[in-house]
Amino acid sequence: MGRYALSRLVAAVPTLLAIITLAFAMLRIAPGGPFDSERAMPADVRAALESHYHLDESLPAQYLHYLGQLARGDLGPSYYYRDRGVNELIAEALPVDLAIGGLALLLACLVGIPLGALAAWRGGWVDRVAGFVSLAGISMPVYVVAPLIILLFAVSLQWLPAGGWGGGAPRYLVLPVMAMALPYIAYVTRITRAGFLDTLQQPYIRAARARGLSPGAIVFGHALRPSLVPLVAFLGPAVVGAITGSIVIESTFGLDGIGQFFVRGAFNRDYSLVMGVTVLYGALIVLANLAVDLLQALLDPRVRLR
Amino acid sequence: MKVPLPRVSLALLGLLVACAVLIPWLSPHDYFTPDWDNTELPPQWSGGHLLGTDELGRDLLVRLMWSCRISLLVAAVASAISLVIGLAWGVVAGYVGGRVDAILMRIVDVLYSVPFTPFVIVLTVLFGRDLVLLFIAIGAVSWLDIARVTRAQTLGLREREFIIAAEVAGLSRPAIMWRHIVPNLLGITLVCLTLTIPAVVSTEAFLSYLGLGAQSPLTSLGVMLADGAAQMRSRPLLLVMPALVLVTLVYACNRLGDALRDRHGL
Amino acid sequence: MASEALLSLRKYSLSRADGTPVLREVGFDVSRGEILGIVGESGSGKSQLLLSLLGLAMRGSRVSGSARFGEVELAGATEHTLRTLRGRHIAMLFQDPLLSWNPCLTLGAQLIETARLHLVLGRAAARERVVQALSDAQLADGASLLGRYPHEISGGMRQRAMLALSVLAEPGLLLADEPTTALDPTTQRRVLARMATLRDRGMSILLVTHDLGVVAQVADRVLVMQQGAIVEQGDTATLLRSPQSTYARTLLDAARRMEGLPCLP
Repeated sequence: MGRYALSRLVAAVPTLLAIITLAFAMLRIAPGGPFDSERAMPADVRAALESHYHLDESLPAQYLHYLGQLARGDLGPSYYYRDRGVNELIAEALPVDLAIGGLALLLACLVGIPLGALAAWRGGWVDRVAGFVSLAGISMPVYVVAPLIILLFAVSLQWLPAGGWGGGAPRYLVLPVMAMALPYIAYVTRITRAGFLDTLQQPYIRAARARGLSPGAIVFGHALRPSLVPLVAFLGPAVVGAITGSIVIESTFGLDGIGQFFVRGAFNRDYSLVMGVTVLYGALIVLANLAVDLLQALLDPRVRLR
Repeated sequence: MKVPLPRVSLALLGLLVACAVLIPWLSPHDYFTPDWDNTELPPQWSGGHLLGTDELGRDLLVRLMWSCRISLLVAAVASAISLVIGLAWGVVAGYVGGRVDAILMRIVDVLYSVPFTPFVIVLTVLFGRDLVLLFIAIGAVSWLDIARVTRAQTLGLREREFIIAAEVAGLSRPAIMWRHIVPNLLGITLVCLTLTIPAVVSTEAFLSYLGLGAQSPLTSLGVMLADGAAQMRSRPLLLVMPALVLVTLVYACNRLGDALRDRHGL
Repeated sequence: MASEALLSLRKYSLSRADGTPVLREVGFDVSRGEILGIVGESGSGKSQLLLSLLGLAMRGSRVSGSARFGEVELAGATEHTLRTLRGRHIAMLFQDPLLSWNPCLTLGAQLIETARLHLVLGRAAARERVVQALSDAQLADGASLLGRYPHEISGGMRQRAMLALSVLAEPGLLLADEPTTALDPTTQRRVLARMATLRDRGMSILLVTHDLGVVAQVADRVLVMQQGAIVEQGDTATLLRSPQSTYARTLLDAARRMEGLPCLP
């Protein structure tokens, strides 16, 4: 198991490098620089700024310099928010996304896994209802659901605030979490159901029944582990997406999350901020893929052979 | 036992497609000419504005159907392109195997990890708002799933006797891929298509909603959703109707795709 | 000494959900401590017979007739009743051991689970019992086997361990569906020898196979099935020497031809 983990870790490094390089190249290729939109500034001031941020050096030199900086864990300064570095900006924005994204995924698993398992085990009308609900959930885009639930709960019924962070008070979390969780619940239900359906058809489940095991023992003891393998594959990138924030949710509910900073950074040509978020995202994805691989190997020992 | 196709979804889809295709002949109103005498009408029978008009006096129902038409058109074209790219990619990767396979699929993996929304935003910032950009953005991601699926199927087909027979007979690799493998993938391809189209419709709607896709006077479901969201407190119908059409379209396509997939045992 | 039949089938019929018959009015007895071989070609309904006794036949299939196991009527029994019998009083052994073991759990986990369920033992006691059962089955080093996964051991050991799992609770009846078909000759002999030992200790075994050699080795009596019906039954020696039904003759001739022996008159 340890060797498997190590081999997956080694394979992850090139992917991360590719992501960093791709982002770097795209940003540098783009026309315009970080200081173009400012009020016209004297040439020597601009030259000094560019020299300070190493923007006057050759591209390969900038690239290497950046890699070195990353190795120290420093995501660099922000060209736009000059008083704070990228690390600080992310640290400010992260709690918002962690709270909302984390709760949304938790809700999705708490509702979706039992629902999917039940749909697969019982079949019949439970399955049909679960199927309809989950497919509807996938078909409804977030940017449609979010305004609609604001319309219903904040405007018509006036039960909850329409947006804002409110220091993280629970009232402000309900609507964003609900909007974000809906598609996740749908996906989790579908994937869990598919996983269970596949597992329950396997011969070893029939053999377990022939041994006299109770339905509970079969579902939880024998069917659960192999059924969760496809779900784990889905949750990896989903967790990363949830943590790095949904741009739509943040803008609809007026939240200052990482997504918002990213968009502002892109519009302000704040290379450093955009790169910083991209690198964070890339690193998280690589970690998530690693975690998925390891978790799958834990759930199904046959995976370790590949 | 063949899984029966979902009739309701098929009917709804048929209805939407029919409306989208026939709309130029169905109504005297067009979708872009403002009518300042009739702005912001509620749904009514007289005057032929069955769902009312928007803030520029344009008939809502007609705009809705045109939006459907344009969204479906974009989806069809983009899906077709994705299909060709994905099919070729997957078949080559699956059949040739080895190093080529590893490289091709690694590219797919990296592209798969790219978060779509930030990617599109960066593209817009860099290259401005352009309809072509819309196609590029959509095209860049929708072929990935198709590539994965066709590769998996090709891996299975590769070991079958008729392929080995063709190889023994001395057929060249491209010939085998084109004449033997691809025809056997057509069933799967159809399934992928029915699942790609709703994804592309959703994506196009999203991009248009962000203002990055279809520009005025062109309309699409995304554009109508954006307009509707902006006016939702005063006229919720402007949001609810396009939302209903989009959700129904995507739902029906997905439902159909699921049923077809069950049939093929995918 | 005439022993009272352990399992008694009378006019036992099975049909699929769409009505096609699988078993037609099958009738036979199984006494305590005997091995009854069931031979026939694929599609003769042998496997479905075993599965239906435990209520594990295909969805929607219907049973009619009678199948008495001691005091209990199996045909039409409720799921609850069947569950009290499965594993504990009637066990089943399947053909492919790789498919019968859960690949995600260790052998030990699955063995101990069954031991705890049927023998009502604590974890440590169940573990000891399992190790004992493995060594009874002549599986060397049972303790280390417990920590392994099914795909990590050889096919022969898998099936022998599966047999040990099936008889952990010392059931009165073992239903074996082609248990040796997927095995190499050496392992085949071992498994059959083990079955003979279990038989000598009083267990009854219903052994489905298409291999007459297997029948010749361990079966006390034989049933010959064709298209869902029994065409002949009798004790092994007699049947192999002078089969009555044409079908049995054909089977025997085919087997003898493979051995290079002349056909029977």
